[in-house]
Amino acid sequence: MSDDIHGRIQAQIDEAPVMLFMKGTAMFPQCGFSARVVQILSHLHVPFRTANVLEDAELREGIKQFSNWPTIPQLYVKGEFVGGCDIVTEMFQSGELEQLLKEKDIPHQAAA
Amino acid sequence: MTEQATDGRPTGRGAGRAARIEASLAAAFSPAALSVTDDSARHAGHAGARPGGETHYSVLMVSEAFRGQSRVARSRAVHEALAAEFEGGLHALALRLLTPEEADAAVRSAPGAKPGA
Repeated sequence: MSDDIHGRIQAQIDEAPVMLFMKGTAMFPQCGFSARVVQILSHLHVPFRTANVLEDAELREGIKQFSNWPTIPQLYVKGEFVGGCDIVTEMFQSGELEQLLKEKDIPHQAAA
Repeated sequence: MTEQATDGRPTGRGAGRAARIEASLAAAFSPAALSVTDDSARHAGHAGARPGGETHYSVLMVSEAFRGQSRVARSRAVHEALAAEFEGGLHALALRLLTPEEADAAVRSAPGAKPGA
């Protein structure tokens, strides 16, 4: 059961170069913290995929175990855990997020 | 720049978990500065909010313990110190975790910062 969900998460982060586990969807985020990460990724024109943990109780618990991280949202880039809303926001503000995207060869547009 | 534990903390129903968070973090990280804010009222009615509040908090902490640690590692250490709170209904925890040098730099670069202030 839990191996199953971990396998499913692994497949998701392997498939999508930028994968965001969030509450709601990119179009309709259901939480301010999730909304902020969507906003940052959109601002940088990063192509990303999302999974809505509110529609999937197994995923909601599974992703917390998988990442060893107790809160949502959670951002993965090229299979690597980047962090939640605070870390993504700090990295965006300091320019480290763009640096990471560049290093990982993720298409994006420089912030103005 | 040590902050008083009681400064700015809402009294009443939010004080229980905030006090426990503060005590746990103070014990685990010997912080040079620590402030815990209960944001639950701002999230009332959201998913994860509970009628009794005590669900959403912000922590600003300055500690030597973060030296040489990545952001993810710092946050994980804090999450670990507060595992019991997460199990007991803590829903959201905004973290700003700095070394003393990073805190000094943040103060200097803050808008409106005055030299020597």
